[in-house]
Amino acid sequence: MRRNNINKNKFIKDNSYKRMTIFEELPLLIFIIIIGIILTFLSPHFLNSQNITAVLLGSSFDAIVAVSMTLLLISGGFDLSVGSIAGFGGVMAGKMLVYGQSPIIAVLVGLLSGAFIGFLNGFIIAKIKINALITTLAMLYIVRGTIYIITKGLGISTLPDNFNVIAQKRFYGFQTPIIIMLVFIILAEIFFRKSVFFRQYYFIGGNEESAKLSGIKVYFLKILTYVISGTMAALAGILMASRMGGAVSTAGTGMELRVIAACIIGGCSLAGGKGTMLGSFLGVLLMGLVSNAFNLLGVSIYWQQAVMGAILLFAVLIDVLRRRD
Amino acid sequence: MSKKLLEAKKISKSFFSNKVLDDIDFSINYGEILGLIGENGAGKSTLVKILTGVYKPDTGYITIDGLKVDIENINIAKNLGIGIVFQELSLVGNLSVADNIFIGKIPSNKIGFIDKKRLYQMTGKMIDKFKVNIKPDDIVGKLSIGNKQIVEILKAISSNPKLLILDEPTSSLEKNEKENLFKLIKELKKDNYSIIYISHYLDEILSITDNILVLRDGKKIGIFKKDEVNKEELIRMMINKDIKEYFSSDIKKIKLSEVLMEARNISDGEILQNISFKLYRGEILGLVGLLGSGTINICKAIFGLSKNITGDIFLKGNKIVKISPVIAKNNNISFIPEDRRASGLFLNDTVSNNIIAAILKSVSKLNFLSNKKIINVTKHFVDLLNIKISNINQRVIYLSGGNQQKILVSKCIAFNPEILIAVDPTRGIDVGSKEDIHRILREASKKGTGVLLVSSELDEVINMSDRILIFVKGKITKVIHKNDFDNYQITLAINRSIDYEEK
Repeated sequence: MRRNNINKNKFIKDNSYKRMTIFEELPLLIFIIIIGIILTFLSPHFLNSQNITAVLLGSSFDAIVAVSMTLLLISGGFDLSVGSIAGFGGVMAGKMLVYGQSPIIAVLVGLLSGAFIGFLNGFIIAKIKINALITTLAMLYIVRGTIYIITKGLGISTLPDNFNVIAQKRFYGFQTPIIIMLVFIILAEIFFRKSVFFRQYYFIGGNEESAKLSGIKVYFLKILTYVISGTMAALAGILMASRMGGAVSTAGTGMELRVIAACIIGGCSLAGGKGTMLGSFLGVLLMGLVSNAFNLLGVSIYWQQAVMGAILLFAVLIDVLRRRD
Repeated sequence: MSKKLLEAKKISKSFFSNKVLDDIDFSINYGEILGLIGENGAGKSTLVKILTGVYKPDTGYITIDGLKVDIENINIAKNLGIGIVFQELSLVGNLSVADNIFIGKIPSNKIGFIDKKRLYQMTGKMIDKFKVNIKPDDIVGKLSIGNKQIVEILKAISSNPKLLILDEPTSSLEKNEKENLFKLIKELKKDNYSIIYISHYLDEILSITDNILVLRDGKKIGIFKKDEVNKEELIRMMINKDIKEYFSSDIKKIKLSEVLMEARNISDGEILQNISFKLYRGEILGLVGLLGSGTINICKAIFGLSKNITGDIFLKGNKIVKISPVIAKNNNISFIPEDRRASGLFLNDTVSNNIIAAILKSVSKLNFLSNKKIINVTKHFVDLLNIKISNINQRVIYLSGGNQQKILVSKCIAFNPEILIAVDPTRGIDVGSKEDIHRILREASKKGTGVLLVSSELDEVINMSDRILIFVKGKITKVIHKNDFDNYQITLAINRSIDYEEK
C-alpha cells in the first residue's frame, strides 16, 4: 500500500514549479496591450516616441515607489507615508541646496531623511507592534505637516541647474528617472523572484509566526522594508524636485494610494504573501496609460479617478474569481 | 424509543475520476451516538459534507424521519435539523458566552435593541439543562479550550437540531476537559439528540458511542456495536494492515553519553520553576504532564519564544546568552509547533515553498534559488513521508490535516537539526500519517538528533520515548527510563500534587 503512494507521486512534473511563477501577469499584460492598440487607433498622437516617453516619465516616480511598496505588500505590510516622504525628501534636498551644499550632499541628505522616517515606521510597527495602517497614516500627517512647517507652506522654488540636470538629462532619449526606474524594476523583478533573501519576505507575509519559527529574522527584515520604502520614496521625491526645478510642499500628495492600487492591480494582496515586481510595474503602467488616454482623447480629468477605482475593483474581482475554481 | 432519524442509502461521490465515497449505507436512530472512523482520506469529511449540504452526492439519497430530503446547502441542513461542530473553533473571542451561543438569532425588544435579560435567561436555561460549568456572561476568549468547545456545541444546539455532528471534538482537550465534554454528550443523548461522533481517538469512540461506522478508502467496512469490537480490530479495519507494525517500537539501545542540550534552573516567572534537565544525542526525550504543567512552556523557552526567562541553556556545553528563534536555528535547533495552521505552515503557499522555508540557503546557488534543487528536496520529502499531493505547487491549504502535518514535519527536519523540539507532532491526524511521522522522528534520533517530544497522548510518548520527564505544576517530578515505563505509573505521577517531588 505504501509503495503505491510513492508511485503515485511520480507524476509530479519537474517543470511544474516554473509554470506557476512565470507569467501570472499575462492577463494584465494583454489588457495593457489591448488598451495600447485601441489608443493607437483612437489617437494619432499615442504611438510616437515623445508620447511614450512622456507616459514612462510620468509613471517613473510611482514605479520607483512601487518597488518598495511591492516588497512591503509581499511581507504583509504597507506604507501610507510614502507620498509625504517623497515630498519631504525633495524639500530636504532643496533646503541643502539653498544652504549652498552640493547636489551630491543634497541628494544624500534627502535619501537619508527618507530612510530615517522609514526606520521610525519600521521600528514602531515591528517592535512596538502598532499596526501599519495607523503608524504610517500618522506618519503621513506628521511628515506632511513638517514640510509645511519647514517651508512655511510655500515650497522651495528655483533650485540650481546643477541639481535640476539630474532628472532632466536624457540617455538615448530617456530621462534619468526612466532609466533609474527600469534599473530598479529589472533588478527587483529578478531578486524578488529568485533570491534567497527576498523569498523570506513571502514567508513573512504568508505567516509571520511560521516564518519566525523557521528561523527567519522577522523583525530585522520588516524594519528593513520600511527603511527601503522611506529611501525609495525620498528618491522619487528628489527626482520630482529635480525635474520640476523646485520642491513643492504638496509634492507626492496622493501617491501612496495610487501606488498601492497599482500594486494590487498587479497581483499583490493586502493580506501579504503574494505579488511580483513585474505585476506591480504593469499596474503602474496601466494607470499611467489610462491617464494618458484621458489627455489624448480630451476626456475631462474629473473622470480619471472614478475609472481608476473601477479598474482596481475589476482587477481584484478577476483575481478572486480566478482563485475560486 | 429507537425510532430511525436519518438514513443514507447508496451514497457515492467522486471528484474528477477519484471515487471518495462508494455506495455508503448507514442509518442513525434518535438518541443514538454513532462513531465515524477512518484514516484521513477515507471519506469521513466528504460524508459529513454531504450530510450538511456542502456537497451533493452523485448517487444515492438521504431520508429524515422516513422522508426523502434534498440537502442543497448548509441552511437547508440546519432547517432539517442537522447541526455540526467543526474541528476549528469559530467563536468570537471578545463576546460573551450568551452572545456566541445565540449569534445570528439574538433576541431583541420592540425597538430592535438586544434583549439582554432574555438572552441571558435563554443561555442560563441551556447551561442548567446540560449541567455545564460556565456562566452566560463569561467572555469566550478567556475560557479554556475545553469550555470553548462546549460553547461551540451549545451554539449548534441553540438552533434545535435533531442530529449533531461532532468533528474531532477532543483533539485539543485535556483529560478532565474531555470528561466534561463526555458528560455533556451523555446529557444530549438523554435528551434524545442523535450524534455522529468523529474522532481518531479510538478509546473515546469505544467509550462514548453506541455504534461505530468504519470507512476505508471511501468504502463502508461495516457498522459495529461497540461491545462487539475492540481497539485493535478497529485499527485493523481502518488500515487493513497488521497492527504490529503500528505499535512495535523497535527497541534501540542508546547510550546517554553526549549531552546536546542542558537546561539549568529555567524559570519563566509564571509556570516554570527551576527546570533542569539534559538532552542527549540520539535520544527521544518525552515530556509529560497535564495542561499547564509546563511541558510546552519549556519547549518554547528553549527555542527562544518566551520572555522573562531566567536560568541557563547550554548547547553542547556552550552557554547561550539570550536565546531567540534565529539563534536557536543557527545552533541547529528545530521546532515543530503544536498548531500547524497558526504557526507552522504557510497555508496559502505551495507545498515546495513550505518545505524549503527553513533551508533557503541550501536550495540555492550563489544566493539564488535553484528550481532543480527545490524540486529534488520536495520530492525527497514527499516520498519519505508519503505525502499525498497532486503537484508540488499545490497550495497547502487544500491538503488534508495529515498531509499538512507531514509537510510541517518536512520543513522542520529539512535542515537535519541536531535538536528537534516536537510539540504534539501528530495532533488530530490519522493512524497512517501518525506512523509515518513517528518513523521519521525515530530515524532522526537514530541518526543522532536529540528529540524533545511533547504530546497530549500518553500512548504516543510512551511508545516513542527513551526517557520521560514528568512535569507537575512547572516542576520536573520524576525521570523515568524506557524499561520502567508503565502507563498506570505515569498517569499516576502526572496527576500527583506538587509536594510529591519534595522528598
